[in-house]
Amino acid sequence: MSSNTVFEQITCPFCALACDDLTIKSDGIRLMPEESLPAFCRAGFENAGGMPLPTAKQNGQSIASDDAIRAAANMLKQAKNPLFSGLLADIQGIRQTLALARSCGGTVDHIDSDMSEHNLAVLQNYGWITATLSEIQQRSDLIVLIGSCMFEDYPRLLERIVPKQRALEWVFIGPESAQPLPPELQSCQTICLESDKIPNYLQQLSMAFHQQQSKTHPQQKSSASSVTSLLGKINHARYPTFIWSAKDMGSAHADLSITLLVRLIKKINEKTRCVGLPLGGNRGSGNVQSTCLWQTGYPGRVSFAGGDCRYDPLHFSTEKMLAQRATDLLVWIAALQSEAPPPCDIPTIALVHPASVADVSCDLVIPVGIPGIDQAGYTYRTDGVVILPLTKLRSIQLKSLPDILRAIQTQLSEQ
Amino acid sequence: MMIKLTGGKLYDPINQIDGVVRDLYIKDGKIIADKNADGKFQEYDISGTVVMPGAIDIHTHIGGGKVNIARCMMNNVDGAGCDELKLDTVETGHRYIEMGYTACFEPAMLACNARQAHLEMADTPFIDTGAYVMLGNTDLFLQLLASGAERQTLRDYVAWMINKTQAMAVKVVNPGGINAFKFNQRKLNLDEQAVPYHITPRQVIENLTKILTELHVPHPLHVHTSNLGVPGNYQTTLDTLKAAEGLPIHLTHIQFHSYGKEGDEKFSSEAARIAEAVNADPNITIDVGQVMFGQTVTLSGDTMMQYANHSHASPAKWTLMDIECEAGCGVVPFKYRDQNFVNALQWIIGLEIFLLVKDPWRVFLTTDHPNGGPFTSYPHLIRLLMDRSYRNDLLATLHPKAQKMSNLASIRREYTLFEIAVMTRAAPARSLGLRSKGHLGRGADADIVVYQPAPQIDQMFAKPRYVFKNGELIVKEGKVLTMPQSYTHTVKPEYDASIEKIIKAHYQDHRSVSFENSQISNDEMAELIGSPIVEHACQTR
Repeated sequence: MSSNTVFEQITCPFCALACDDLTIKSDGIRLMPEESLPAFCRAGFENAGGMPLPTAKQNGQSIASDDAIRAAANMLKQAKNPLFSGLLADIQGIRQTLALARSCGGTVDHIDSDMSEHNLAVLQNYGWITATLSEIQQRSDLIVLIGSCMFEDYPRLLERIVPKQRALEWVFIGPESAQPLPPELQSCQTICLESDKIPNYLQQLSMAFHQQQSKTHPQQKSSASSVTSLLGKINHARYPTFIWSAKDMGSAHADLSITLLVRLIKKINEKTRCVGLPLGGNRGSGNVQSTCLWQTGYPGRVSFAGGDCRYDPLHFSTEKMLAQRATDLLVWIAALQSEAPPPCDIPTIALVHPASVADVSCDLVIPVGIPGIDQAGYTYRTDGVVILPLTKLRSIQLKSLPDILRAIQTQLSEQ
Repeated sequence: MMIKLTGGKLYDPINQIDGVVRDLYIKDGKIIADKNADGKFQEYDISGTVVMPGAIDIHTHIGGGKVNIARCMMNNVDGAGCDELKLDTVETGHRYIEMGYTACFEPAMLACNARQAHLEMADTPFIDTGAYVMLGNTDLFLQLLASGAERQTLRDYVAWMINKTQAMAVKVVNPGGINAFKFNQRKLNLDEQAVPYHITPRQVIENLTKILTELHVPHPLHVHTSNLGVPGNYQTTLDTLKAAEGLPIHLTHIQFHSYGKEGDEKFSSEAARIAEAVNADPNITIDVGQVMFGQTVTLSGDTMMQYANHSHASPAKWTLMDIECEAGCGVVPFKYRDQNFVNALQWIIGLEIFLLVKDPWRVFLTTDHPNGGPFTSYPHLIRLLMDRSYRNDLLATLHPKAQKMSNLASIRREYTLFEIAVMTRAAPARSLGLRSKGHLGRGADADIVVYQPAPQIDQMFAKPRYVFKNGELIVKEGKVLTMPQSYTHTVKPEYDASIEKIIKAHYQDHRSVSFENSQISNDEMAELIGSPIVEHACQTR
């Protein structure tokens, strides 16, 4: 790869919007994204490390890559219940992680499983009506955003859903702390609510909607004028759209809030169209969820111990398994971003982002390439339909996560 | 090393072999002529066995976002799942190869979800795969049609989509209806105008059948027509067949489209009329979408009809999606019950169609997996077709009113092994243009299934003694031995590259993925997705 190459139509792997219109300059090692990109996204490219080339470490001592692979295979061989956790990786990395976990009876759990569980539980138990980014951008005439962190977690969200040549009404439901809102939302209806008040509000909104639909119940004056106002907007809209992030719903109430919301969306659909967009999938959780679903039938937190595949979202949590000593080897995977393994007193293998090798201390640390920078790969978009290609942007001599996992598996089968 | 299979009784309809004992020779993954069989070979004595080419499933939902939603909804921890309903790729691959299926085709691939569909199929071990790209509800196609674009433009668009999504054929689902549902249209008949483009489903079908004929795509337009599941929809189905104006057309899961509205329950079988129409026109092919009793999950691009039927969801949960100005999907769990009048009649209607359509070359064995039932029920379905007394014994246990509404008990036909080989191997291969599959002649891919005759025919079909794929022994006595490289089957119809200007402009204005990233190259299929393509010729069958 020659120096100062300019790459166009590049997909960003660092948030689940998977924007694929990036232009990135590469001098073969360092990457220079456009200034106009959000800081979070730029940092992903700018802080990609790789110089000097990190090496694998065993008990703090540098070792050759092949020796590290042999050491990892040995540790896996000795383990009875290995836990593959972190899983900040792209789809190619997760495909191979699952293959290795299957072959050695491991358990897999993504770092953000607890958060993903809120949306998943509603999909599993109730189902929903959703739409993808293009659909929302083309058809929505009312967008209700619920949450506060979505502008930080999905920095280009509004840009991705604002119609190009059409007016759109916005409503924002979220805490006071979310102020000031992005410029697009400055004049929108804002309903200030902390996350613990959201279920009550959605309940009121749902009741008000049901009451106006039902002739048997007399119309009651709603307790909040904002409910009446929002209801009026929903009644008036042809394609109202609710966008939420489970992270913003408060962990204690998120399932309830999301259930109320998807029930309301379904109810509205009896007469007119209405859709939701559950945001999620950052830090590779969408990659884990989708890949794990197709390869195992379950959305994560599966164990291959004993040869079968079992799903248990409550017990196969990294935190619980470490606390209960239900695992005897932690295989920590963080290729997309720098993320250190949780402190624990069991043997640990860390397959990590090149910039974080120096900061991670555990039995065995193996640097891996960053998907979308050091290797081609795939990332899943938040709306659950589109998988975007990731491109190799530089050539440092760092093996990819899938290649290393494959080598470990080969080593394991030969031992 | 060459392989010799000695003494098996061959059923190879493409080569007109009906139960003849003949040895087979395999070299470099292909079947070779006897006279070339010099030198050393490994011999398998398969005397007394039944030998057929690897089976081909022409319509099975095995990959893509809608299957992932179904997996998620059916496999939660509340016990709503079902052991028989294995939807994950690993289990799917195992179950298919263990039954002797060596190639399976996903009929509902969205262009925007093509990468996922191919990734999932690449992770479905053992079997070759392919997919039909769903057109006929994309904003661009409907806009072009509504604006009176020239046929050449439409044709280039269709050919471009087939190429860039690595597809094998084209499917249309509720033509125009999925799009219209986004604009709150709740029903759409064949000659009714769809909002907002004011085109009719008939226009979509007419254009796509002509375009595919002109492009020489081997498999005709694969049509899931309007009004799925609606009592009285047989008339729509008959009209859809006519809309092809004599050109080749394939109607899929036709059982769901063969309903009358006679009787107390306003639901009746029109299988006879549908079969009559199929029998009358050699350009029509169908697959049945047989219903099997038990828990399943329906997944379809037909958001309009899935929404209409969501009240039947069992367990009571369902999901719909509007997708990328292109398509939609609806996932509704369903439990078919033998003591439910409608479900029992659906079962009957499927079998009536199988038995009343005379030409097995034009009716393919499917359950529309998992919509009518899981593909693992194929051996049972084959027995229902081959064993009249078994069929009638089961019929006698169904909802009594449904029995009375049907002549099924009086239909004497029993499928022969040769006919089963036609409808599960030879005919799908021919329909898809897979020239080296579906037969055992010289040059064929050595995808070979060796069945041990059993007291009951379903036992024989459930567990073959040997399954070879590309000349490699994959399954022996029900045990999987090795995992071969599998391939994705595609066609590459020609197009004028100037169409890319129109498509690129559409992506810039309407889409959230760049034009460049929407395309899947041959190299990507091999190197990243992990399933290299096999390209089949576009030529008239």
